[in-house]
Amino acid sequence: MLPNRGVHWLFAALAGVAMYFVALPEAHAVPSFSRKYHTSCQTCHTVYPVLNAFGEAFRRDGYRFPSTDGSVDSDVEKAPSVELGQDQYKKMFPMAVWPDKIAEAVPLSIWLNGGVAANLPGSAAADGAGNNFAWGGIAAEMHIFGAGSFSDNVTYMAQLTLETDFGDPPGSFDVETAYLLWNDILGPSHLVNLWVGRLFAPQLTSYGLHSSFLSDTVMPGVSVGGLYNATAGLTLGQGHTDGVELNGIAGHRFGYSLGWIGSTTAPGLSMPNSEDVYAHVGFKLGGLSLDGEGGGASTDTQRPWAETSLTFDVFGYHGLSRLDNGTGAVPNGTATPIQQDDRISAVGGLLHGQLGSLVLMAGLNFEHHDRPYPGSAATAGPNGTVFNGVPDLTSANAIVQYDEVDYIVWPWFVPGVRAEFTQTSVEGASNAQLMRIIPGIAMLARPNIKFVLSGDLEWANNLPVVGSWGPAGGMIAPNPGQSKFEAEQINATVGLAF
Amino acid sequence: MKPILTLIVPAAVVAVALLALEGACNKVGDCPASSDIKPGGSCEGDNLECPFTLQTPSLACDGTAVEGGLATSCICTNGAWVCPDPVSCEAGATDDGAVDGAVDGAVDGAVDGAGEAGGDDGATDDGGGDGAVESAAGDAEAGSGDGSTD
Repeated sequence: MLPNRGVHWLFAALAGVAMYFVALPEAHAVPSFSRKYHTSCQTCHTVYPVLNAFGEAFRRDGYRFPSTDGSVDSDVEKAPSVELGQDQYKKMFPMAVWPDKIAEAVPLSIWLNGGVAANLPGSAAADGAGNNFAWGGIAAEMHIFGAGSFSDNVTYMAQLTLETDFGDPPGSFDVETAYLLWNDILGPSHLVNLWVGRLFAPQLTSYGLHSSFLSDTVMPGVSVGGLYNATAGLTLGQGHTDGVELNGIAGHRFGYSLGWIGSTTAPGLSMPNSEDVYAHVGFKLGGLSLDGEGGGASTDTQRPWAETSLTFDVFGYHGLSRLDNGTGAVPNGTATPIQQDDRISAVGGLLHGQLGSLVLMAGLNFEHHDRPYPGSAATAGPNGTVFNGVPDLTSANAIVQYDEVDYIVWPWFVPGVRAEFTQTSVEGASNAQLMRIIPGIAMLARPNIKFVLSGDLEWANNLPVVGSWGPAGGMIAPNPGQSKFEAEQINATVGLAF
Repeated sequence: MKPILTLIVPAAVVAVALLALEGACNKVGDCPASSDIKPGGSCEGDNLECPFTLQTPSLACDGTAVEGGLATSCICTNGAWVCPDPVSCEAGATDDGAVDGAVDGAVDGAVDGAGEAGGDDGATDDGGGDGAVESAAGDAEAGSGDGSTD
């Protein structure tokens, strides 16, 4: 049965608010790369942070402009810089420090993000929030970016984030991204690059972390481990992980990445050895090449974002998540974290296609967990003694599938619809399934002011082990063993970059 | 020179990476059958927790025993199983002392028991197990006294 009232609200709001934001007065904004190259956000983005084909090439090339006729990045750099040493020092090495440069102006930029949600009457979202609408969240995040280059092949990206419910403690600043990109280490340009630090994201596909118009990330923010145990830390393909990645592009259209990043741990437990590793390969047919240097650039001056292309990506991931299995917790009493190491194996792929202004994405991940289940609670004995509960060492499997269709009507107006499906095994019961349908519109009022209006329709069958679909981004709460369909929210998010 | 470096450098990077990755693997271990776990016996896995059935007097100290044993777990600590002690219903033990004594006793007992057994694997089933339990019980009592004076 369709929740007619919720759907009606959703589409009425989409249309109304869209028209309002188009009429905002003019504003100027120039984040770090815009300042460096003296170019508009639209050079690399459609509705930021989604990158167009050129922007993706710029990102894959290590935040450097794709070369044309043998040019190097500094040839297109407009912002003045300060040389740290003379070029002759290169010939004197190792008797001299290898020279580089820094931007004359501190290359900082700021992003402000926020959002509000209308929790539809009678929905689980309204029940959970205890209201239908609240302004809390309209100013939720502030990111300070620093990005630029030290030379034609060494670049950097850093991101300091203040988020009201993020950081340690929440509300404090957190270094969300900080890494050095050493590009073109060996062989032809773009073939071997080494990126080290707190990476923006492990590259499991050829596309950037925020390549969805309607969701924060292109790969759904589904913590499969979190569907079994609230202390699980890994969300596959999501950003800001510490480690090192070797990546590159061969023949302009074949890309790869090999990464070694930190494993995750629950609060109160020691950090395990970092054993998360991944490998990814991708190939792009048609359109602008992966590195932006192999031809295929759009010649349509009216629609420079448009191209006809198809990109295939596959990846494998092995990791470890250290959980607290709860066997040291006495009901209504003490709770000593008890370690349970959950090994994770995942494979997945993404198909990304573009037909002119029509953008299509379809992705599929399989995730296997060796020991994600919590155990039974501890028992209190006499004289304050505690007998740990019994661990549950059952394995589990999950499927995460996602699709998105968007149409770039104008460079500032992109309607689309996204679907996310999660299926997870439940010991002793039938599988639990969640489907989220997210229709919406991503808009730019100005190149640096964005607005996204989206809805959230959910269908679920059964509940996961943890008793909530929250770790999969869902809010719907069917009775165990039953299914339910419900319109949950209308979300409005805003962003400013300057 | 350059072609040689082009071969050697990537090979060295891959070799170092493989060595580092091999060393970085965590010793997760696998749980044996519950009946195969002997307190103080040897085990593999860093802090691996496995199901264990503890034969113990009733938690209510009513003079009976837990029928079929108490379902609990042992943790593989520094290569030996550390398991809970049976319930001690003796009067006079304070909370702190009982807990400290139990933990100390379990560890001491595990080491003592393994040593006394002296087998190739460090502990025969009987020697390791009994030694662990006996020593644990004895140390737990001593621990009670220590705890009460702290």
